[in-house]
Amino acid sequence: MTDILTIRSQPSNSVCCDCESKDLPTWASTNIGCFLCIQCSGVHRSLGTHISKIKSLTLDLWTESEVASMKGNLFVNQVYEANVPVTYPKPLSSPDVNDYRKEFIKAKYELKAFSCDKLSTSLPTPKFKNVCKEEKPEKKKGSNLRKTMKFNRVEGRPTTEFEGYLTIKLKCGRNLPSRDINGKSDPYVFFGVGPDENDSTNLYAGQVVKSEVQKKTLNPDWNQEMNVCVVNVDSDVLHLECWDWDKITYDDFMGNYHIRLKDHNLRHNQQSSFEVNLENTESGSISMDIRFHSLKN
Amino acid sequence: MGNLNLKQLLEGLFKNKEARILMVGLDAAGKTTILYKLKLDETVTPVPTIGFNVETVQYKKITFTMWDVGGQDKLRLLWRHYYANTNAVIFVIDSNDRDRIGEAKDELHKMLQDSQLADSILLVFANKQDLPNAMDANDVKNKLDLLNLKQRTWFIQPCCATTGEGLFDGLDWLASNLK
Repeated sequence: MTDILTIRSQPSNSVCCDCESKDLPTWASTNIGCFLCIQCSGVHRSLGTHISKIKSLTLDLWTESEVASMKGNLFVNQVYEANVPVTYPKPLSSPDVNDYRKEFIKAKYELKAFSCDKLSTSLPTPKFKNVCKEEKPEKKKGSNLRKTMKFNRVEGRPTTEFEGYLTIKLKCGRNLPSRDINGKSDPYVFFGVGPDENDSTNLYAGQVVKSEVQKKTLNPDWNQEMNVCVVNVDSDVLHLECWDWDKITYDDFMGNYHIRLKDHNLRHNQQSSFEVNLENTESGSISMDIRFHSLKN
Repeated sequence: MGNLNLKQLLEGLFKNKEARILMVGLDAAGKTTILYKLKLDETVTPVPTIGFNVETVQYKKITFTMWDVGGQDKLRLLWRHYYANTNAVIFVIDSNDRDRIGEAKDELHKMLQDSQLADSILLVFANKQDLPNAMDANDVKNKLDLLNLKQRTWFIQPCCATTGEGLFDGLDWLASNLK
């Protein structure tokens, strides 16, 4: 089976079909068959699935028939851009032209105004400026703005974007401290991701997971998998805290630890094993495997 | 000490109620568009959410903290990170996407099996009612098998996120059904 990323590697599919953004397209329309940048994919989605069905190349699962139906940008533009009037130049990849981008994409796919079987004379002049005419070519080439631009913003409002997530396989604890009168503990582990290694309470909202409680043991075996999200794998810190569950009173602290992710050079789909000695407590170690899944390649 | 207690009591009486809302659904259902229509009364054309947005919306003396989490296949694995302490789930449906209503049903029922959501109420937004081939709310209700949800307080509201129609009717229902 041909991989979707193999099809993208053809030169015509390595730029956005609509705005020709040079960033490798990470989105695609499965019914039209073209590869798109995230900005144009957003406009496609607003047209409705009866016009365009959008999938992510990396975040969605692809069936064999969906991959096979990808005709590619060259073919798609031969049909949908067969007859483009001069008043409708390609939108630039810059978000400054978002209003024009919407007009262009709507005309191209919803009205099919540029297709070979249509006469485009009835098409009105675009309402929004398309910048091409006003901007000097040198300015267009200068990519400083583009580099600093966050593409994951909704009209200037920030989205917290995950870089990926960690699959933590919590294996076991050994020689953990005793917290109950029977000389044992009922241990469980919290994991959370945050930006600050010195502050385990500053965690990304929602990004906290908790293991099961193992009853009456100082050497628990969990063998449990959990996922936590990572915002920036080069600076985030994974905090873990071990606690003793109590039915009636408050749970008791059994030790903590933090792992600076940048120290471990986590790469996509690579697994690292950790055996860490708990801090701020008498004894105990925790073993786990951590695998990083990038959402951005 | 006595004064402090009284102060706390008064604050408790007049303070806005707070509700934690988790908004999920398949990709391109319209979650982010709904969020910003409610928050800003603006119609946005957002790029796909690779991660989450969170905003608070004040309505009828309730502070709704609304989490909007991306819906692509791999991001759905992350929804359950947001389940804890969720008072209500808003599940958003693209009523125009007949091909994937079955997939939406599966995701909805899978999610509601999680014990962390046992006490959450469910609002389904049957979005994109303006599109030509949209299923009506009754059709969506049947295709999602909502009548089979036992011991769950639920409601389905047809809406159109781009015009805002139906969105505050959904919040009205939440406001009167949140405990």
